[in-house]
Amino acid sequence: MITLNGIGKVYRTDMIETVALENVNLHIGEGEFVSIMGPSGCGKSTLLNLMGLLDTPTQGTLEIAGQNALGLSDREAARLRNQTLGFVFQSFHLIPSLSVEDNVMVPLVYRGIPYAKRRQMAREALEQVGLSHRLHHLPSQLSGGQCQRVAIARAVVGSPRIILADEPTGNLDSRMGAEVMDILHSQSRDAGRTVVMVTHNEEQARSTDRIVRFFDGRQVE
Amino acid sequence: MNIKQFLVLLRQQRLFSGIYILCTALSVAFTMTLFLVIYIKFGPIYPEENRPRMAILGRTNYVRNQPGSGESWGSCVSRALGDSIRRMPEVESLTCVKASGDHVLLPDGTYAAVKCVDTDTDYWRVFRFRFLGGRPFNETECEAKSHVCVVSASLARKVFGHTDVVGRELTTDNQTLQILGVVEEASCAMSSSYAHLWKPVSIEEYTDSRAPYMGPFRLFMLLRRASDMDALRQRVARMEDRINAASVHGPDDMVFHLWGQPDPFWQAPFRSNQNINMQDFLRKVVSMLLAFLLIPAMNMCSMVSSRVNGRISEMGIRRAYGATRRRLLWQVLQENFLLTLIASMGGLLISYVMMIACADWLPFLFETYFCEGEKVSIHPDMLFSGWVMAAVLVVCMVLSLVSAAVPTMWALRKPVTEEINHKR
Repeated sequence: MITLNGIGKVYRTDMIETVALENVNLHIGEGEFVSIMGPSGCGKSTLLNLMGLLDTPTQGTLEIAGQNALGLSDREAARLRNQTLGFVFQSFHLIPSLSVEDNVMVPLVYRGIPYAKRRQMAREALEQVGLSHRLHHLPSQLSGGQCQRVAIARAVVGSPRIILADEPTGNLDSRMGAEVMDILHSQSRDAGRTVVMVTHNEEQARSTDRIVRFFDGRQVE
Repeated sequence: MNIKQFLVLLRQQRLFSGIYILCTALSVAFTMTLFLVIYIKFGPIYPEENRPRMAILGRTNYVRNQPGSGESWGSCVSRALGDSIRRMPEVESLTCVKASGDHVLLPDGTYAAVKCVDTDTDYWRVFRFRFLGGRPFNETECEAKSHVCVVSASLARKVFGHTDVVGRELTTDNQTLQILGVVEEASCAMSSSYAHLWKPVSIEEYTDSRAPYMGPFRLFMLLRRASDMDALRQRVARMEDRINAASVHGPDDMVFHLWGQPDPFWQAPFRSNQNINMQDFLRKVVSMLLAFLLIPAMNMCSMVSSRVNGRISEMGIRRAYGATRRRLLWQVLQENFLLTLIASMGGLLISYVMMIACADWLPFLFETYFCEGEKVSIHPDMLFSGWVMAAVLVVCMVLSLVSAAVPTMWALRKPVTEEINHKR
């Protein structure tokens, strides 16, 4: 589902050059739930951003769902993100001026789905994460756990084949974190989605199919 | 565009939205006031609705054809010149107008000063006055030198207390006139047609002993089509050449000049004898537009930039979920256009209030002519027109584009990850 070959990422400024990732080779299969672990600054999130086409590598090749994902135009990359990928972020990144329902509808807007249909889809996704009673609330009126569940609903509403989660439980207490993990597991197990999760939590990582470890921008396990 | 989000943003960013709307409204108000002044000066407004097809010939000169002489006679023109031009195929109607002052006898025995126009029957075709009662004078009455007149509604009320005065008699300084018609009052800002009393031109004879084409009249022509202007000018120029070649209408050594007249209505105010000088007017208008529109637009640009800055993370999220840069730019432009449109409507209202409150001087911003001692009325057709509304939309789009496009495009240049993690 995701294949990285010789991927490297170097951040350059006028003064310094920082190697964030170096020669990463990784294949993640369809329906697999993979954890990426490592100390802070080792390149985990950078790797996730590259997989999500949110950033571009400085070297190597990247395939997403069998498609070469490098050198795409803004429009092509946007379409691939919209149809294949779903994102869950540590800080939820909900749009504060949109209601819960409207936040979940965001990916569908860019798919050109009519309003009535996307509202129905958003409500079904929110039902799955147990938030159908909060449709018209703004994100500021929700708890952290609820925000993350909304973010997961947004990630899955368009039925993407891949979910990329960057420390999805990092800002949650253990109970909320466990709820979010349950939802992600069900997305992998029941819906057959590929889930790639960056985490610092050893226990959560062990509950996934595979752990990939990084250190100083290099894959060590 | 998501209207719900737009409304939520309005509520969430009350201070920004309030300041933006206020700044835009003021900018639009000043700009629209300027447009309204120009529209009142040149637009088709009662009773000068024919302005787009109107041409004016107001002055002539006879210059002595001797090097170093420098002698010239200048004046308005005669009816004879009007008669020659009236026959030209481009001219639908032509009226000779002599504006002057007169006095009318009031019921209390005193006299009131009035603006008086001596004219012919074509006047009522060139200027489209609406008659509240009665009718204009006709050819028969002009030829018979009948002592008849048409009065404005305000004069009728002043003298008789009401406007139902057709058939009544009006006493002026030196004659008694029978009222044939009463016209709806025009605004004093309509300087070509504003008057209280209209009399047939034949009542008094006007001649200039020095040359037959010099006289006390201004000629107002209604062309068949606005595009006939150049053809008419060329025809009048040829007539001018013929007159000079024949030298039959003036002293032999005097050359007759019309200096390229007739002028289209919009050009006539800028004629100073031989030349049309619009530079001063254009300089003033451009400086005012810069001050009222572009400078505030630059300020608003920085406000929008700050607003866009606060939404960079949202743009990153939207891009992560499939929005293209172009779509996001379009969304911000639409939102900003709507905000600017709301402000512009407010600005337009402010400009109307300003125009009505400052009616005594604002319509004359670029004029040397003032309605001294007159109350200047602002009529609805001076304010509401398709042109004014179109101008609002254009101003709105310019403000919106200038203030929103640049900061948004700048913000969207960043990689998605930077946008998502952007801290305000």
